[in-house]
Amino acid sequence: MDKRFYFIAGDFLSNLLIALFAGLACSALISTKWPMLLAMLVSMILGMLIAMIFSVAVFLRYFGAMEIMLPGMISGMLAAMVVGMMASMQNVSSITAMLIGCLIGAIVCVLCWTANSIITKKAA
Amino acid sequence: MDDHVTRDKWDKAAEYFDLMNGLGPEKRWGPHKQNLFSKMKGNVLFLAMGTGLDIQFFPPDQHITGIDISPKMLEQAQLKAKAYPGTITLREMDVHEMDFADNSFDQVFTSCTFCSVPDPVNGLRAIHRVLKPGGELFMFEHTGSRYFPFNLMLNMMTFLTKNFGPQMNRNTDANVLAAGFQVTEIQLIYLDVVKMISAYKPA
Repeated sequence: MDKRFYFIAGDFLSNLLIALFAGLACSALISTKWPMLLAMLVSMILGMLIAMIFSVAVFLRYFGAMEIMLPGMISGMLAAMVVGMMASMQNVSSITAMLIGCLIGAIVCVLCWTANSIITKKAA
Repeated sequence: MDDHVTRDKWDKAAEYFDLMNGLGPEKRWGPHKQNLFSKMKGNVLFLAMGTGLDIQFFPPDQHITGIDISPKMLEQAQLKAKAYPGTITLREMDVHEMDFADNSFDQVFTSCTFCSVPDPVNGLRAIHRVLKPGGELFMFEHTGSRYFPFNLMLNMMTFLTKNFGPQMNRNTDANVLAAGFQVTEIQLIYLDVVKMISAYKPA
C-alpha cells in the first residue's frame, strides 16, 4: 500500500464518490416495478460503467491508474447492486442511496488495501 | 511498417496522453520506476518511449536508444529527450520489426509497454534477438491478475479498452518465459497487477 497521504486520501475519496454516484444513479433508475434479478443485473452493469467513466475521466489523472480503476469498479458494481436490489423492493431515498454507496466504497477501499498488503507481502 | 492499427491508436492517444498520465500515475509509480531505471548501464534500448514521460526518472549520463511505433508520441518526446543530461536517440520503430543487429544491446527497459504490443511473445522474442547473451531485460508493467475479483474486473476492462488503449489482462510473466528469458525477480507493486520483472538472456 502506498503510504503517502495524498494517495491514501485519493484512494478513499475516489472509492467513496464512485460508489456514492453509482448508488444514486440506481436509486433514480430502479423502481419497485422492476423484478429483483433484472434490477440487480442492470445495476451492476451501470455501476461498473459509472466507475469506469469516473476513474478514467476524473480520478486517474490525479491519483493513479490501476490503484484507482480496480477498487473503483468493485465499489461501483457492489454499491449499485445493493441499492438497485433494495430499490426494486422498496422506495430508496437519494440520501439513503448515497449513504449506502459511501459505506460500500469505504469497505471496498479498505479490503483492497488489505488484499494488496497480503498479496505483495506473500510474493516478497 | 505494417501495424497501422496500433500506430493509429497511439497517434490518436498522443494528444491527451500527458494530460491523462502525467500527474497521478507518474507520481505514484515514479519512485519504483526511478529505482528500476537506476540499473541502466551500457548500451540501453528503451521500448515504447511514448511521449517521454519516463525520461524524468532516467539516471543521468546514459546512452539510450528509445523506440516507439507512434510518430506523434515521439514528436512529444523530442523536447524531453533534448533536456535529458545524456544521450537519447529516438527512432520510429515497431518492436516486432526492429532493424537493430542481433546482440546489439546490453539492456532493454520497458515501461507499460506489453499491455499494448499486439503479439507480446513475438515482441519479446524480438527483444531477445537484439540483446547480447547475458543481457538484461527490465520491465515495469501492469498485467492480468490471478486473484478474484481483480481478474474478472481486468477482463471486463479489457473488453472496453482494447480498441483505444491497452489490454489489461495480459500474462506478461509467462510471456517473458515463453520468449526464452530467465526471470530473476518479479517485484509486485500493486496486487499482482503492477510489477517489475527482471530477466536475462541466457548466454
